[in-house]
Amino acid sequence: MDEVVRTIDLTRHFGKMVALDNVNITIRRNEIFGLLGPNGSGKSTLIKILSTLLLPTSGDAYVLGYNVKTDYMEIRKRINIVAGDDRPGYGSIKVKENLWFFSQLYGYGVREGWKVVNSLIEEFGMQDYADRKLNRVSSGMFQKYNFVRGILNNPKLLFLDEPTVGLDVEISREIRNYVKSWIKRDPERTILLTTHYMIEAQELCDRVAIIYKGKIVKVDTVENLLKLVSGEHIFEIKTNFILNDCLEDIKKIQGVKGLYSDSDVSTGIAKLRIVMEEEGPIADILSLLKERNIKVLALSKEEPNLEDVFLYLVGSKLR
Amino acid sequence: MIREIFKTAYARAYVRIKGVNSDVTHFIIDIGLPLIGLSAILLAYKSLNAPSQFLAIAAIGGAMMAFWYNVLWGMASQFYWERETGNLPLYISSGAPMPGVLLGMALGGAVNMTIRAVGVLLATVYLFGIKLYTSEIVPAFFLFLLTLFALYSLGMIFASSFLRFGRSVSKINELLGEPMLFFSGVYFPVKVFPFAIQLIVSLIPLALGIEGMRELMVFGNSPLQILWIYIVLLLLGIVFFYIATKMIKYMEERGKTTGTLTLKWE
Amino acid sequence: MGIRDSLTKLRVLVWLSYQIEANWTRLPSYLAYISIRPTFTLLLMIFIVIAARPNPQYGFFILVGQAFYNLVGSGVMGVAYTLWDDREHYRSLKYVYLTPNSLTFYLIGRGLYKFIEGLLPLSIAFFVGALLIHYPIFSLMPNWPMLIANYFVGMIWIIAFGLLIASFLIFTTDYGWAAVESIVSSLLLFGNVIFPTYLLPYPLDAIANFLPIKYWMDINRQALLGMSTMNMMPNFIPLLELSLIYFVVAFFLFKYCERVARSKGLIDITTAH
Ligand SMILES: Nc1ncnc2c1ncn2[C@@H]1O[C@H](COP(=O)(O)OP(=O)(O)OP(=O)(O)O)[C@@H](O)[C@H]1O
Ligand SMILES: [Mg+2]
Repeated sequence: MDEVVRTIDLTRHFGKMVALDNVNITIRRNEIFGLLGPNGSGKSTLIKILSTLLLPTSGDAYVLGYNVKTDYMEIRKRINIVAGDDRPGYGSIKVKENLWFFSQLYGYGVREGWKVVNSLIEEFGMQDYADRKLNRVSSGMFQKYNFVRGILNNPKLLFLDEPTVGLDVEISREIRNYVKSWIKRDPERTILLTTHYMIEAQELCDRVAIIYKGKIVKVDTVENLLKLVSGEHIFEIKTNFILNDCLEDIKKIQGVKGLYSDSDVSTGIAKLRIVMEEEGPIADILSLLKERNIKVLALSKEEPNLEDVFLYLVGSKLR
Repeated sequence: MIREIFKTAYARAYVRIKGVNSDVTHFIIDIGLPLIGLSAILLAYKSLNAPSQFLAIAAIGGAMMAFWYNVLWGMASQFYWERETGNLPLYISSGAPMPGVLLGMALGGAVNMTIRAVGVLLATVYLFGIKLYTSEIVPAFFLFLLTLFALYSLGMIFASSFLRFGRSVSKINELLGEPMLFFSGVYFPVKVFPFAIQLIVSLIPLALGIEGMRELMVFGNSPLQILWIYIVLLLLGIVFFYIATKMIKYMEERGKTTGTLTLKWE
Repeated sequence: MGIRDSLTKLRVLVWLSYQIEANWTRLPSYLAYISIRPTFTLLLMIFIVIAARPNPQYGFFILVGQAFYNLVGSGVMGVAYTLWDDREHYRSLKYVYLTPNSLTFYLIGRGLYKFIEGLLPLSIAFFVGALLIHYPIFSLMPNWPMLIANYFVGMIWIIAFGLLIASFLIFTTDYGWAAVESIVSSLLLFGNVIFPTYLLPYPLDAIANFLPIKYWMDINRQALLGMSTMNMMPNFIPLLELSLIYFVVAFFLFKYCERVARSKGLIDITTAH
C-alpha cells in the first residue's frame, strides 16, 4: 500500500475551539512528511489523532489502511511516537531495563527482547550508560534512549513531535542522522515529523504541509514550496527601533506580500524580513522609514527559506 | 532580621491558608476522610462494649492525628517537593529568610489543621453523643498551643534534614506515620503500655498533648494535676525550635556547596 | 492474544512493579519497609482491644479483619495508583497506552504484584497481633483450600474496586488521592473489618450487604477457624456473585471511561508540577 496516512475532512474541536479544521492529507510510503506551523496550529492534535491517543470530532483518518476510531489496536502494533518534550520511562530502573520493558509490551519474547535491546544499544553507542538508572542520564542521552524506544517495535509509521527541541546542535545533528538512516534502511518505513526548526524541515522532509489555525494551507515538496517564493524578492532591514503602526503601514504598500519583525531586546535592534513581488517597493519602504525618523542600519537581499514560504502563504510569521 | 522573618512567615502562611481553603471540596474531604476512619474505630469500641469514656479518648486522639500527618506531609517532605518543582532555589536566591519560610509553612499548616481537627471532633461528638468536660477549656487550649509549638518545631527539623533523602522522603514519612500514631496512643490511653515505653512516649509531643487533653476533657482533671505535661511540652518545644534554626542554616550552606538544591527527578 | 503470551506479559508487569517499588534499597530493608506500616496499623487496632477488653475472642475478629484489610488497601492502590503514577510521575502512561495492549490488562498486571507482596505484611501483622492478645494461633486448624480460594476471589473484587477508582482517576488529576482514600476507608467502615456490620446505624448497615468485602472477611475468619467448606457456602456464594458482578461492571465502566478520556484528549494530562 502506498498511502500510509489518509485523512478525510478530519476535524477536532475542544469546546468551541477548532484545533483541526477539515484536514485532508495523504502521506506516502517511505517519505518523511513534515508538519510546519506556529504554536497552537494543531500539529500535536493531528499526531494524537493519528496515533490513536485522541478521537476526532468528525471526519475520518486511516493509518496503514486502518481506521483510527475502530482499528486502533492494529494501528498501535505498527506505530510509535517520539516527542522531544516528553520524558517517558521509569527513573528508578536502568536505561536498558526500560527498553526491555517496552519490548515486552510490544510482544517480543523475554530473551528476544534482550537481544533486540542489546543490539540497539550497541548500534546507537549507548553502552556507556545503558546500565545507569534512567533518572541519572543527561538530556541528550535521554533523547537517544527515547528515540531507541520509539523504534523498538520497528514501526511502519513513526511520529516525531519536535524530536530535537531543547537539544544542543551536536546531538540534534546526531538524531537527524539517525532519522535519515533509519528510514532509508527499509522502504516500508514512513515518518511524520513536526518541528519548529526550518533547517530541520528543509534537511529532512520530502514533503511539507503548512498548517495554520487548524487548516492545511499547502502541501508540497520543500523544493516546490521554495519555488513559490523564488520569483519573490526578500529583503532584510535592520533598524534601531520599530513601531507597530509603522509595520501596518509598510504592509499596505503595493507589492508587499508579507512581513515580520523581530526585536532584540538587549541590543534594541529590530529586524524586518519582507517578501515582495518585485524590488520596486523597497524604495517606498525606505522613504517611509526615513519619514518616521527610523534609522536603517543595514539592508540585504536574502535567499528564500521555508519561513518566507510561510510568510508568503499566510501573511504572518511562523514563530 | 526578625521583622523579615515574620514578614516572610506571614506571606508563606497566607498562601498556604488561602490555597487550601479556597476550595470547598478539599475542606469536605479533609474532614470527611478522617471522620470515616474514626467512626470505624468508635464502632469497634462499641462492639467491645467498652465504657463510653473510650469513645471520648479515641475522638480526641483521632482529631489530633491530623497534625501529625500535616507535620509529615506538609512540613517534612515540603522542601523536597519545593525542590522538585523548582521553587526551593527561588526561595533561597530571593534572600527571604528560610526560617521565615518554615515558620510560615508551620503556621499555615497549624491553622488549617486546627479548623479541620475541631470539625472532626465536633462531628464525632455530635454523631456518637460523646460527653466532654468543658470547664477547663482555656487551659486545654493553652496545652493545645504548646503541643503545636513542639510538634511543628519538630516538623521544621524534619523539613530541613529530609532534603537529603530525595524521593525516599515519602518512604520515610510512611515509616514514621503509623508508628508515631501508635506510640502516641491516638486511639487508646498510653497507660496500657509498659512503664518503660511510657517513659519514652512522654518525650513525644503528640502523645503528651493528647494525654493532657484527655485528662482535662475526658476525666475532668485540673491543669495543676498535669502541670508536668505543660512543662515537658514547653521544654521540648524550645529545644526542637533551637535545633530547627540550626538545621536550616546547615541545610542552606550544604545545599549551596553540594548543589543538591537543584537535583531533580528521581 | 494467546494465554501464554498474556502470562508472559503479566510476569513482566509484575516484574516492573517490583522493580519500581523495591529497587530503591536492598531486599531486607524493603521487606521491613513494607511490613512496618501494616504491622503498626494493626497494633493500633489491637491495642483498642487490649485497652478496652483484653479478651482473645473479641481480639480475633479485629485481628483477622485488620490483617486482611491491608491486602484490600494495597491491592486497590496497586491498580488505581499505577494509572496516576504512570501518567503524573513517570509520564509514560501515553506510551504504554500506545502499545498494542489493553490498558485494563496493564493495570491489572501492575496491580497483581501487590497481592504477592502483601502476603508478607499480612502474615507478620497477624502473628504479632495474635501474640499480643495471647490468641492460641497454633491450635488453629485452618481450612486451607477455602482460605486460598478466598484469597483468589479477593483478587477479583479488589481489582474491580481498583478499576472503579481508575475510571474516575482517568478524568482528573486533582482529587486522585481523596478518591482512592475515601473508597478504601469506606471499606473499613462498611466492610465487616474491625466490628460487625450490624452496629452500623440503619440504613447504613444495608450497604454492607452489597459489598463483597463483608462476606470475604467472614470467610477469612471462618476458614482460619477451620469451619467446613459446606458451612461457609452461605457466605461464599454471595461473595462469588458479587465479585463477578463488580468485576464485570468495573471492567466495562473502565473501558467506557477510557474511551471517553481518549475522545477528550485526557490520556496524557498532567498537573503542572
Ligand atoms: N486537551 C485539550 N483541551 C483543550 N484544548 C486543547 C487540548 N489540546 C490542544 N488544545 C488546543 O488545541 C489547539 C492546537 O493545539 P496543538 O497542541 O495541536 O498545537 P501545536 O501545533 O502542537 O502547537 P505547539 O507548536 O505549541 O506544540 C491549541 O489552541 C490548544 O490550546
Ligand atoms: Mg505540539
